[in-house]
Amino acid sequence: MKTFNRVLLRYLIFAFPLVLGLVIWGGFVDLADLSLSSGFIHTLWDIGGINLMVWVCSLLYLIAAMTVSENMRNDMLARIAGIKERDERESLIAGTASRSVFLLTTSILILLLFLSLITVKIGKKPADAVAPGEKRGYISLGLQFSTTQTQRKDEPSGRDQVFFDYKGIPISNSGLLLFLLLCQIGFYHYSARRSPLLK
Amino acid sequence: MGNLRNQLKINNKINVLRAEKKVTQQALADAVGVTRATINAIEKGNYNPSLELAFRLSKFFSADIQNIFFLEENNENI
Repeated sequence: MKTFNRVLLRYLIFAFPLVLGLVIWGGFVDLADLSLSSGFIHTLWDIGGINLMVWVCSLLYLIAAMTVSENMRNDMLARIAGIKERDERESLIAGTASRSVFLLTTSILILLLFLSLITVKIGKKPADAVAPGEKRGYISLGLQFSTTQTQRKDEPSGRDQVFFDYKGIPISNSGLLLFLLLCQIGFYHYSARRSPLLK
Repeated sequence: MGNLRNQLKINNKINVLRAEKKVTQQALADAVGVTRATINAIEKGNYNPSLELAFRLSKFFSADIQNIFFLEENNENI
């Protein structure tokens, strides 16, 4: 099983340029024309398509296996993230860097949670909607919490002139997860390189 | 107790013993099962080895641990 997983990981790494090439190729050509064509190009496209399918399935399997199996996590994810623990000093460096990364990502998560909870709205009410002498401008602060990603219904602002309307972090879920992932790996290496044990 | 830790620095004479035995850092590292960088860090005093590694070094040099590692007291802080 371990050998199978290693072979699969190597396949994922070495076949990635082919997958990327196919995606780029697919972006430049008309797919309808390509599927109707015959000969070498069509065969090449088909082989590329099968490779893409196998690659995606392999990726799915490895990610799922990594989530479940601790050995695979230690073996593969540590290699992908570039964590070296060849001896006790490197284990100490990895441990210290991991602690720093854990605290950093926790603080980032707290910040992101806070940013996703608050709502801010700055606007101006129409002149006829306020009493004489009353100020038209307003700042509205609120809190929102939802466990599921639901489409928010924007409250009709009526005739209000809205200057600023903030309702959660304007980053997609994928973007946020990628940011956290890169942040975690990047800061791990930064912390590990800054370790006094490396001097 | 906290101050005592700051006042004491563990030093070693691994580089002297290594020179006497004409052994490279890499050869010593391979013999005791660590990386060359770890031997370098120990020699420079940047890393204090575990008791297990200290015993392995002691066995390699056929010397007592006290003859390899010793406390260097910082008199300025006492």
